[in-house]
Amino acid sequence: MNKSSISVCLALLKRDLRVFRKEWFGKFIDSIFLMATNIIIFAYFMPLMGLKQDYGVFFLIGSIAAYGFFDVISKITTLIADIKGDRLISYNLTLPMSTTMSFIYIASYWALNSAILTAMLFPIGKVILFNQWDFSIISYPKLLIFYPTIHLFYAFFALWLTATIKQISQVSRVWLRVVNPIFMFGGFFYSWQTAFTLSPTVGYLLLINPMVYILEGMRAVCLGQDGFLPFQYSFLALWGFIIFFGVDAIRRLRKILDCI
Amino acid sequence: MSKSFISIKNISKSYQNSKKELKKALKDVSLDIFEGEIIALLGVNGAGKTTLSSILASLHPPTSGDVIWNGKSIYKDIISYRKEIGFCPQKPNLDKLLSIEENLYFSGTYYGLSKKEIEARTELLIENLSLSSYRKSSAEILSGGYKQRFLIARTLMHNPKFVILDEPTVGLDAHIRRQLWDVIKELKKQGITVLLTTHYLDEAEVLSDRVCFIHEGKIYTIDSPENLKKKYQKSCLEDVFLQFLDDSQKDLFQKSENVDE
Repeated sequence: MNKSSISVCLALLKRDLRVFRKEWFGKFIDSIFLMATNIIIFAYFMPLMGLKQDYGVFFLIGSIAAYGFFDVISKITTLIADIKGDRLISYNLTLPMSTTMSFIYIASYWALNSAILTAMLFPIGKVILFNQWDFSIISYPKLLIFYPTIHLFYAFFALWLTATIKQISQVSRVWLRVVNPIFMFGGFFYSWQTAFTLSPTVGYLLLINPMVYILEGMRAVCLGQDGFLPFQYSFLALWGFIIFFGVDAIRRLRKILDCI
Repeated sequence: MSKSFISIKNISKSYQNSKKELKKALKDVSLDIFEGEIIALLGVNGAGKTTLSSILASLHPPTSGDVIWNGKSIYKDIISYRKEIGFCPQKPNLDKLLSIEENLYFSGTYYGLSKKEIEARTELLIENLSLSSYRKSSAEILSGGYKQRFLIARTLMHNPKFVILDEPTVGLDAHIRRQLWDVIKELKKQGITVLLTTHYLDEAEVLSDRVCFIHEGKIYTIDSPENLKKKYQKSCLEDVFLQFLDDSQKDLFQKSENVDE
């Protein structure tokens, strides 16, 4: 990796953080509304209808892990609109960095953006659930490596979807046909163990879904290993998906944008 | 004559259009661009001007052929080449959420300029391009003329040796066009090599040392406006260009007749 490419990438990230500083508060308030509403319902209302008492914490960790996934569609829409419209991306493609790095930069910013916004959900979740969520059971070293991995996955997945969608009008179709099924079958509302109990075939089939590793891994980190897929499997599988989506997204985008 | 700054060697470019048909945008184009000159690419819409300028801006690769800079292919060290060029695209692709000053600041950082250099360049360019009253404004609120000035300022931020201006005055009022002409003339005084694509013939006549007529992806004529006027016995470049178009249409017609026979 060329030194110039890295320094241009860092300079672009600094610019984006300057822009982010101007708009983070609005997004932060949006996330409070989304998270607080959902967690209150699942932690305090739903147990009265028979859900387990600790379902609120289970749901909160899933929400923190999946938060970046909710934002995938807006990222895709923004980039497709740029490619079809103003083409700010073409300015980046003439900067003194490699083409591959200019796509890695986009993914890095998306990852950083969702990681910062999601980080704010930890204290919000703690305030809402208070003593239902014990911070002492979190494995902080694992969190330190797994948390950025999740956001890198979302970023490269969004980049890959951008590269596969031809028209902005197809984005809503992608939401219905791809993003939502991945989310619903990814174990947001249940653990992989539950799916395996329902049917081992279903359990094994779900292992092709990257969301399973995100949710299982994050729950293993924040709630302890018992009842979830082994952390190292989730971590490695997720890196496999990042590499696959990353390499294929860059290959496709190079072709679409006809880059050097 | 100055030494060649960039040599375009037998460049061809094909791409698939929306109907999946293969379209040849450039056909075996060769051209030497000399150090410190302003060279204008002239042609009707779809002639291949923007394709050629975007290849030189390293935005797209050619299908075949090469671009030689400093004695070697730009594709062997694209990053060093990109440090030396400034590309001002036709579409105003500016960062709308940042102010003019912030946009210029970050543009300097991409090219590794120090904070002091950035401040000095920003002051100079804001002054020279009359952007001072908008320096704190968001790029989004600028009118067409100011957007174009800002784009030129951003292009020049890192002091490039070679500047590519793709239709820099398209859609602008006459008086703003004239102001931008002064800016472009100033680049020549500073020894910067400029490639200007335009379909305004008066602009090419006033600004360029040489003009290059490009038609249907091929370069037909490269010469100074004065020589072209003499050669075609016309009083202005516009008449020369119209004559050239007439001749090339006849030429194409003749070729197709020969093929039919």
